[in-house]
Amino acid sequence: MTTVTEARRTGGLEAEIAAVETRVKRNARRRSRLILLIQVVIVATGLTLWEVLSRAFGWEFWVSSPSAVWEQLTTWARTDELWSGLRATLLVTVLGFVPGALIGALTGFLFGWFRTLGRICEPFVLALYTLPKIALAPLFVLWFGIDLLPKVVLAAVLVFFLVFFTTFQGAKSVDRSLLEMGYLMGGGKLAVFRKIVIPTSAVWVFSGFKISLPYALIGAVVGEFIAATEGIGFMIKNATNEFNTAGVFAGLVILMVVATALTQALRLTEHKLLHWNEGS
Amino acid sequence: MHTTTASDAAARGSARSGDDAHISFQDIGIVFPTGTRALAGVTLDVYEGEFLAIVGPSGCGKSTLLNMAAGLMTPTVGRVEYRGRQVRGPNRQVGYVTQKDQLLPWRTVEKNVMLPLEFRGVTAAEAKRRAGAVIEQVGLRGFENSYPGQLSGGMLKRASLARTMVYAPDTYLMDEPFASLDAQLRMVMQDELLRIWRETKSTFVFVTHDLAEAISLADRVVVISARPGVVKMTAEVHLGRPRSAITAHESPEFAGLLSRLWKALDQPSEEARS
Repeated sequence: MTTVTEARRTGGLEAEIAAVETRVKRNARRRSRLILLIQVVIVATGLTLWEVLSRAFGWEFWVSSPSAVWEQLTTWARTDELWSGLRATLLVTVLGFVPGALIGALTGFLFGWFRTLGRICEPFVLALYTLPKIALAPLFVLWFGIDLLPKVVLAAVLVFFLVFFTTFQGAKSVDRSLLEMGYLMGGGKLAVFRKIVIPTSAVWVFSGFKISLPYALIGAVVGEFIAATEGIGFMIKNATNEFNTAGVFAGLVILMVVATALTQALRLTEHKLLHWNEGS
Repeated sequence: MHTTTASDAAARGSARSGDDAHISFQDIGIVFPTGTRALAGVTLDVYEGEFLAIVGPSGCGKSTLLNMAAGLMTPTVGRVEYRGRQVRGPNRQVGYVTQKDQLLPWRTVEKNVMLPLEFRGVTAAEAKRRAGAVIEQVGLRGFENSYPGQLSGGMLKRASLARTMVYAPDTYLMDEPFASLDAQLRMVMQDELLRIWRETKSTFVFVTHDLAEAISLADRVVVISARPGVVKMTAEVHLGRPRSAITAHESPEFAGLLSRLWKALDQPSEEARS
């Protein structure tokens, strides 16, 4: 008797818990849908205000308007200008990012691992870092001409410093007792470096990558401002010269999309490699 | 002829029959770069197969002794010998278990346990087999593929013990390994540790500031004074083997020893030296 009623009672309890669970989950889903909706509304309102105010007050020359920007984008897409510009800018970004990040990470590890070397060289790197790197662009044009190379070098230099500092910090911050444990477990210097130091610093290195990727784009665009015959930066500069405000804004929109896409790609890679770091 | 059983080891610890010491600290003094004198003339022999506990107030230099035996630190004066040889550089014959678990968070339990074998050039298949065996021994079966971030404090402790056991070190150096665990779990782990000591027949040097823990585990308890540390007292524990950390407290011998150790800890070190 009692067991039966008890079972029924527990059964009821379980059902109730399940019901609460579904409700909680449904609420969470509703909330994220609501957030998305609000975000869409904000964007729509912003675009509408932009369009209406710009037309009403005749500000089109200064701020253009969403419809004009859209028109410019479709024109560029049709004439292939968009794709060739995108290709040129992305090429510089990637060609600058990869060596800049690699050399930055390598130097960071080197200085972090060989402490004395790090202490000797750190002030020099710091001194170079304080230099506004953009100011180097004319020098790079002088040295490397007006083709791909000066832009790639500028992007690489920007990336290098950021990745260097984060990696250096990461390599320095590896727990000493963790290394000692590695030696006692039988690891040689190289093995401990490979199996303990590099993975421990990976989080730092990746945050360096994430921070520096938009800077590679900055390097590419600034390089194109100074001397180029193609690329998004070149298109923005051209549009400015022609007082084509819609063109300037269209260029900015493209850059925003590119930067977001690149960062997202890096975030996915990080998620793949460092999944253990997400606190399960 | 080496003793093998735990009770023999205990007996031998008390007999000290002119055997060469397994680890020998000879008149150790250490001054840190800051000018702090942590140890001032510690002489202490650890015998093969014994379970030695070192107790003392925090900062007395008891962990420093372990670091020296592991070759991670060199004494300012004096000499540390391991199996008759002066210790120079990391001593790969010891296993070191500290309060922190020092597991690598990006490796699963199994991969963490396999790490020392990877370092020692054991083939992957063999390493996997041996890791599986010790994981079973510490009761972590079924958690081979979990990451440290997914484990509880006690399980982390078991995993770090397994990682040490897997390469069968001569000596286990343990620096307050259970300090972060709650009282009940600590007792369970102490019991497990006694079992592991019996099974591995290795020498255990266990640093703690918990006198009860020292007595329930060890054959001998060494009391180090407050800084600068000296050996104030060495007491033998006659609680018999095999012993359970859970019931050890019930013996009258336990209470007597506890109060003796308390008194020794309480005295200022000047008195102890006279």
